[in-house]
Amino acid sequence: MEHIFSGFIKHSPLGRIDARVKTIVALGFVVITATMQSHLALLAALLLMVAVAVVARLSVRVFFKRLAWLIPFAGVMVVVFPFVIPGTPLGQMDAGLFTLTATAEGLEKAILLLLRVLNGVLALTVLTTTTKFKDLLEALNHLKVPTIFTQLMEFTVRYFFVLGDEYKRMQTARKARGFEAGSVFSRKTYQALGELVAVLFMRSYERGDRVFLAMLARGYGGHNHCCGHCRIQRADLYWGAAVMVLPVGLKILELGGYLWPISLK
Amino acid sequence: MANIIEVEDLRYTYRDGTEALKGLSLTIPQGAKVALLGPNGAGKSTLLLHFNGLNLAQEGMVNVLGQEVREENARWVRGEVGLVFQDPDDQVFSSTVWEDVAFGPGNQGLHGEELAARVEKALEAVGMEAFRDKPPHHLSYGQKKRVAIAGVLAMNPRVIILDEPVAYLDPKGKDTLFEILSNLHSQGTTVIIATHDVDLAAEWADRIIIIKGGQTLAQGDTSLLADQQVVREAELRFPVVTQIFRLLPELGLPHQPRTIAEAVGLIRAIGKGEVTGQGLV
Repeated sequence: MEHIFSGFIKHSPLGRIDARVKTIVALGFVVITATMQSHLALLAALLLMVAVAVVARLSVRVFFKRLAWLIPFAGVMVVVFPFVIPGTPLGQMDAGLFTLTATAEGLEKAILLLLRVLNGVLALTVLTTTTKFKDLLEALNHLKVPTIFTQLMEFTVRYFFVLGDEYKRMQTARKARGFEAGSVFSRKTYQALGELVAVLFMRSYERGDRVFLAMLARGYGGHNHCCGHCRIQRADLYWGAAVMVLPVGLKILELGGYLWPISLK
Repeated sequence: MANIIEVEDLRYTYRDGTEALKGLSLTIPQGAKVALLGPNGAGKSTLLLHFNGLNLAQEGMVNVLGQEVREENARWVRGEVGLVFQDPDDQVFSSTVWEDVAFGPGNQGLHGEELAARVEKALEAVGMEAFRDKPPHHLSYGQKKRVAIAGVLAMNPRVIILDEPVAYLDPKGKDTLFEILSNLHSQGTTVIIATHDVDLAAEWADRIIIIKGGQTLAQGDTSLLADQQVVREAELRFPVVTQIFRLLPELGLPHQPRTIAEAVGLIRAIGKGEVTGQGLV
């Protein structure tokens, strides 16, 4: 299953660290950096995570691939922020019909968002490329994440390819009957695509029923049974503490109101 | 031999009003190799879900190992009667083969070494030990089917039911499957398969049950498959071997052969001149 998340690093030094510790550290790191206000503190946290990523032998390519997934969401916001948030004008851009004005406040917000996103994505990429999917799910189960969430993840990954294959077969069958996706403005294309999605949805729904029936047939009673698990080692805890010291320290400083050089707001 | 499953006057109507089973009765002897045949929409799938306690009798009765199947003992029945679904993608859902096979016995409350031993034994029975850490979506269809069977075997059922086991399997996959099934049968497991393949039923089964329109049309030995009236009513066809010998009425055979072995025996007898127009001499 580790192949799902392309870029799983075999023999990563972080691969040996207990998945529960890694999960807590990664999530804690994301929560802390997502609420940090200071650019400098965020930059420091980012440098730390980069160092961890280097130790984990994370490749730059894999990281940017993951980051690319966020472009439609955060990327757009980062680009738009400087122009929509009111404040002191920095410069103007002539875009033909209208003029865009960038503001200092907007730029600051954009940088803040960018830093938070980089921190979050990097931390989660390190987690998912050094932890097997199965171990990650087990860790989440141990951490008392409701089974509905972990099962949702597990089933999504398991049936992703089954549905993908089904989609490909349907597409081939359409082509075999002479269907070709027309232009973006063709009504026929949209209708065909709409039907495809609808049929795929119905099939998934029906498959869901059959999968559940097959689970009941093997005595499923609504909860997962955990198999044997090993204990968290002291080394795992040391690692976790080492990584968390900096972000937690920065957060405390920030909360404590030390308007010391770190917060250059 | 005692009957391991008994069904009496079973009726089942779906919520949309479809009457799937209309007073169906049948018996399955312990240790039998049963082929359940019937046209599409005969109620086969609905019936199979009753054997496993997934559907409960609305009217009539289903007995497994002498106990009536009810809500209270449905979990127990699922351990005694294993059901292998037609599409292994519906059944094999875990992230690794090992975990999927461990799902059933885990639900039975096994853990640790006992669980591991069960899983290993089941994987061995289907020859999939080498794949224990593989994710199921990387396996071929036939391999997934074997994992699905292992997932049921790991629960140590006394009866194993397979819905259309050979559908989409390649010839080698079919051979492997039947090797697995004959091993199971020789260890005392009762095996039931639901199928449309009359040749397979004729060669493999020792008991034939034909259902149609939610009722039992006929049950007995494989001679049913050569019975013109039964075959026509059930919308089946004769096994290929029977078809050939039906075109040779001049042999004057009292019974039509149904399996390749029977046919070979007959042809040898013809070669030796032991068969005349009056049948076997």
